[in-house]
Amino acid sequence: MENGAVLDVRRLQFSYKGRPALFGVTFTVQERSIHGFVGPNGAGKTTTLKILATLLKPQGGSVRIFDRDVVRDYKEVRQKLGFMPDHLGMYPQMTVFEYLDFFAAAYGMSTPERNKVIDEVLTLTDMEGRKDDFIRTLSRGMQQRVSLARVLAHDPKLLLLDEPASGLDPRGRIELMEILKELRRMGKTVFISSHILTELTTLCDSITIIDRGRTKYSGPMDALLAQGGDVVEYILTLAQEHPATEEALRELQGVTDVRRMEDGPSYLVTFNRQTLDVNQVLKLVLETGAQVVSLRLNVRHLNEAFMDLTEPGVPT
Amino acid sequence: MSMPVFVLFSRSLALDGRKFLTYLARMLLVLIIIFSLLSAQATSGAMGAPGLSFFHGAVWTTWLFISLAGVVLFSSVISEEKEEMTLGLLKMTGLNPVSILLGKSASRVLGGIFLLLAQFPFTLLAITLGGVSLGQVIAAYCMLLSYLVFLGGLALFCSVSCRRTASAAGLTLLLLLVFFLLPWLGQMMLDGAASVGWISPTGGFHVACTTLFQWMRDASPITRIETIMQTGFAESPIGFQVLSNLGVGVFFFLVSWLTFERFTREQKTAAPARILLFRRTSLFAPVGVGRAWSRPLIWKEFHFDTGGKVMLGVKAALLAVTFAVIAHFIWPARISRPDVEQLGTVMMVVSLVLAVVELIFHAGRTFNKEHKWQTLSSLMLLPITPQRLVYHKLAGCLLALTPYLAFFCVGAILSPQDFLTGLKGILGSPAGWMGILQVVLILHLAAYMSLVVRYGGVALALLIAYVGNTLTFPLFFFSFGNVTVFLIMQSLVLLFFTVLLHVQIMRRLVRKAGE
Repeated sequence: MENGAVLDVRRLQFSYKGRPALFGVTFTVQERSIHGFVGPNGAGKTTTLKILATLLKPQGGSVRIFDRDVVRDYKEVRQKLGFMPDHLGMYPQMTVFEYLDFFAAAYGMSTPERNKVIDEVLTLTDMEGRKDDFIRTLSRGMQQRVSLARVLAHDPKLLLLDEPASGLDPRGRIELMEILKELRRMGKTVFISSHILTELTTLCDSITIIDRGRTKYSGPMDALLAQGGDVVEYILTLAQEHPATEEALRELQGVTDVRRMEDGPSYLVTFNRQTLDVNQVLKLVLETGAQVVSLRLNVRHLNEAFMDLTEPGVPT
Repeated sequence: MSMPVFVLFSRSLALDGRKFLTYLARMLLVLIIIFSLLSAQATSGAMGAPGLSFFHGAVWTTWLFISLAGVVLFSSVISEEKEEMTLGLLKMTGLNPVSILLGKSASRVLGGIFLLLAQFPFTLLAITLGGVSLGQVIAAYCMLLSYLVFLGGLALFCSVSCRRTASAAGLTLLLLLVFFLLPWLGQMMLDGAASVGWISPTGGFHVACTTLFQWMRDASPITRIETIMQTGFAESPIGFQVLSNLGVGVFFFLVSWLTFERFTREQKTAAPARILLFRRTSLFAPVGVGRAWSRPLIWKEFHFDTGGKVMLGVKAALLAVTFAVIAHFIWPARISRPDVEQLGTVMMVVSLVLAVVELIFHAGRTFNKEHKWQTLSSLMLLPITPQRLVYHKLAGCLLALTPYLAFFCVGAILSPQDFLTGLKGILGSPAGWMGILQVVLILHLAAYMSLVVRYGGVALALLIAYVGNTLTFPLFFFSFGNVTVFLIMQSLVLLFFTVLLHVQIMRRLVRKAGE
């Protein structure tokens, strides 16, 4: 396993009744990070998650969690992970407290331990006021919170979350993201599969994109968004039109392209960071007498990266 | 068929016609009949009138098949739409209640009729084996067809009025048991009450009840089968039973139609009910759910699937009332001198039978519910083996049988001689062991079937067990000749299938959790 990696997946393969779903998916997840897992419908996300959760056995390749094999050492692995499936799968006739008490007891906790842990997870998920309510009377968002509380009840080090934000309203989604950030601060590693790319961009430290059972990208989020190697793009916005600046930038060594943008006096400046530093660019602009409003790195949105890396259409 | 009222009906028929399962069911039923026929022919040397024996078996098997399948399949017609929350969408399409009821129910009843028609020509072969007339065969099929319509109507009403399929099936079964058992039990209670002087045997109440019970007996397919099986049967195939069953079936269809809107106006959650399970904040918390035990699966199963402490009390009270009724009403009417020892024996037998029935019922529900509510994956992720999970669930169900055990013990104390004789008879003979293995196999079969089919795992398990026994018993018996060898061989076969099912249950649980 790589240094600091809690999850190591190599050449993972799986088929459903002869129909291949995964063709050698490979990625690693670092400790105390939030790792996004995205892909179009039918890409193999849920299958991968079920294998990580020890619910399915891999048919090829290897999956190690905390340096333990998910097939051979499944009992140890289960103690260390918490899996929240894409369906809620709850006992609607139980109260929130009974539900959490049941799962905490199933992980061998004593009554005082359970009392403490249930209070903690309910506080974290902001459900302490509803603990004696029946699950069937809760809204979907609240049930999601209880489901997350259940996953946290035995204090797992790794959380596998399959579409935790599906069906939540915007407030619910934002609150869920805050809870996940808090969990990272508490030292947990979060592996999250989601279709809501906007939120993943700010939430995740790293990301894996899969399509049709194959890994298309796996690595830091920054590197994906700033993809293009040493060639970078910066957006320069001036207070007013200043033609001399554009001329000076074109003549600067290392600058490969200067394009005027449609909205106001802004330019898209492309240069090679091996030969040119952004500070040198800024210095030159100021020397031309232009009044700079902003100079910022032009990062791609995750949506764009996703569209570039995945193929259109439904897998057949 | 282009009338709007038949839109759903014709669509259901077309869909059923394309299903492989429809043809498989017909083929299996015909195969069972052919196998029974061969079995009857093979054993004809040892039995008189093999045709009648085969016909007898075929009719009873079909009656049982209709009863079990009817309770499950017919009672889910509307309730399954309610559970899936799709009934509202169906109503929004503009289909009126009659077309929905016809489309959902009549197509299934018609499927059953087709099944009977496929079987009919093969049953006619019983005539060639001897002992059966054509009139008997026709009368039997008229009886079965009318019973099918009766059950279809009854189950449809239960399906319309209940929110969940399990409740609908339970209500159908209860009403069916009342239909079959009330004339018998009611008459005994009535005679008992008359013998102790509570009511006059010539009074209006006694006469009215006796008349009602007689009508019910005449309308019962069981009475009709007994009549048809008599040698020299020459009655009309369309008797009171046929007309009354058809009439009641149509009546329940009309009631379902009239009450359809009332019962389906609101879309309500189909979440399992929580009856008499008090929360920790309730005044009745001491008899409530309480905290999870150190074996939480046993706790969950005991409280949330079998009813918990309050249900134990309810069962104990019902058993006490039943035995009191037997001792004070039924007994005096049948036996001149009530005997405490005999009451003890009855308590043991009734408790044991009810315990087995309830256990089979739980076996057929426990995994099915987990799968239905998508909780199986969460359970399988617990750091315990699937075997442990199954045994803990079983332990929870066994706890629910405590009242039966208590009354069994009381019975054993009242009748120690019969207890010891019975124990020796069961444990000391191959027949006793075969009986135990039979029950264990049915438990496994019910649990396995509940993981295979969505509804009716128990019914299917009972049917398979019944058909299996009906087919293999005579064949094995006459092949081995010696009774002891036959019993040992049969026990080994049962043991083999039990082990096989045990392994398959574990595998299927793991597979279902990953789905």
